Amino acid sequence: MDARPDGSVGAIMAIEGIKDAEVILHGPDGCRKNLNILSSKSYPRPKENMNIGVPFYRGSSRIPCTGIISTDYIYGSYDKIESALEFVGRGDSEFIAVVCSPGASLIGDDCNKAISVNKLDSRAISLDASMMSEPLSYGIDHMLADMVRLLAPSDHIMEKNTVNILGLSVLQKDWPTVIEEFTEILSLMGLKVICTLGAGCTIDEVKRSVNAEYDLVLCPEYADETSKLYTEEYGIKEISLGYSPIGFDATDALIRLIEKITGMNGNKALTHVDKYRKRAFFCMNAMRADLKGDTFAIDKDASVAYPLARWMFESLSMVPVSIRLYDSKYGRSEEILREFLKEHDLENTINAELPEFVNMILCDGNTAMLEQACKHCRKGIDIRFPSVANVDFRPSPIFGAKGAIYLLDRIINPM
Amino acid sequence: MQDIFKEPLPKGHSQTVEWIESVCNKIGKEELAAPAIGSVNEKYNTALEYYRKALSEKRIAVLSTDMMEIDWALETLLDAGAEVISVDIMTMGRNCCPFYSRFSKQLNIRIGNDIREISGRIISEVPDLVIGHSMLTRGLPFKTCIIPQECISHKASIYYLEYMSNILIANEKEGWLSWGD
Repeated sequence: MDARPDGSVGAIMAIEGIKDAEVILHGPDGCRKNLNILSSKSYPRPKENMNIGVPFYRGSSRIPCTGIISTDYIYGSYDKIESALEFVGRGDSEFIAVVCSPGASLIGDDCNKAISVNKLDSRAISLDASMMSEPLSYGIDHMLADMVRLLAPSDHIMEKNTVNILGLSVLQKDWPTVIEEFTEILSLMGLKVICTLGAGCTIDEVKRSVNAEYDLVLCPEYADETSKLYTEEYGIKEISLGYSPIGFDATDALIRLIEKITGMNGNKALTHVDKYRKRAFFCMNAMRADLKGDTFAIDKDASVAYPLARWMFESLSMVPVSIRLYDSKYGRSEEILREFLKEHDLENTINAELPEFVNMILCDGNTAMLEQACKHCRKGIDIRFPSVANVDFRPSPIFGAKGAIYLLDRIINPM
Repeated sequence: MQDIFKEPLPKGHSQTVEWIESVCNKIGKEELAAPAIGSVNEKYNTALEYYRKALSEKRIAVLSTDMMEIDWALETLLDAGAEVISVDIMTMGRNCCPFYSRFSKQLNIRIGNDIREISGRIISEVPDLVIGHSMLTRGLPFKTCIIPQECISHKASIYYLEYMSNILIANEKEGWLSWGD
């Protein structure tokens, strides 16, 4: 069984990652429970609409739902989606996406008609049900690209020295800290962020995003189509390593790439990374940690798995035994990962089964906790959602210099 | 409750096999020995087959002290086809029992207490890997690994095969050591 989220979850979470956008689920109440928890956990917002008497929300702050019941499968439920759009459309949301549950898709209610009847054509869309068989990253990327196409103004004026941050979603670990750090890094280089597409941005910022001069791609699987759209339609230049900035060296490499493409000076940004690198050195010496020869396993997208595996191999002298990759339509990161592993005679670790025991497993928070409790590993390290048991009070990203500190903290400390 | 067996727990593979036989004899259930030993041998041999790729014909130097029992580790190395080029044993103060190894005749075991002389000898032998006490092997310009304290049963041998094989694959010098530069 593959319990990994699919493209439809990705598409929904792409919308839920926008501050003033909302998803309406046309389906039974049971189908929204997990989505509601996932959305509330990934992007917590003030608990409005929590009153059980608020129609369609019925006690949950996110994902209003039409609440289809058994007879609707026989007689249809068009009225429910029309009413839901009418009610949600009166709210503050600047953008609404309607998504049908698999069962509701079979009924075949005309969601586009419900959107038109409510005069919401300029700020609502009906999501494509075919996303269910697509990878998570594609769902997020494709949805955001569709949204940009719909919302982008017909004319645009390039704003000099501005950047969009792409490839980040609210499903990425501690995404607010990632935005904070990369906004700071860009600012130290004299660049200004217009939009962090799909990760806490507003609809207004999405509309303005077509004016940016550059796109900074943090996780290429999640921004392949979007980045191409920006480049081909709006002439925005892409800045991408082809993998994520994990570890100090990869973050340095990204800064140098930004420097090369934009022509801005990256010295202050490199000093920022160096500050964290020196702190890490200080702490490593305090621990006298010897991890040489210890094993690790990773369960994540190739664009994260590659720099993470490389960093742990080169900086800590640890050895990978299993690197299980998420499905993706973007193949470049996997190619780089395979090349790296082949160089060290470790290519058999790609998608290898977990051994009986491994020193460290880096995966979703829930599995990390379970594997550690079952003593299948010495340490389970949370690098991605879902992590139902934890809330990140301390900065806990995996990207950037702050991400390196989080990872070291989890790798080295016993608790 | 009756104390049935006062021998210490077995270290490494061959002691485990002997220990199982002794325990089964002691409790009068000799018929249980063969399947238990079969299972132990199967797991050990599977691991040997897998890790031989990394360890076979590797030149290994051992640098330990007379206070440590290292036979289980030497046995694992030899079973994996490694070439144990030398075994240097540092004498650590007053020890009531002289150092003993069942591999004394088979291997070049040298007893001494001058670490500079021992290190010099090891350097001249250019091993692929030096195993032993980390306080002694530190500073040698080769890949090094410890002999773990956890040495009970054949599982310790299997873990040690994996560990040594990983050390040979792993980066010789951890990158973090240069983060302070």
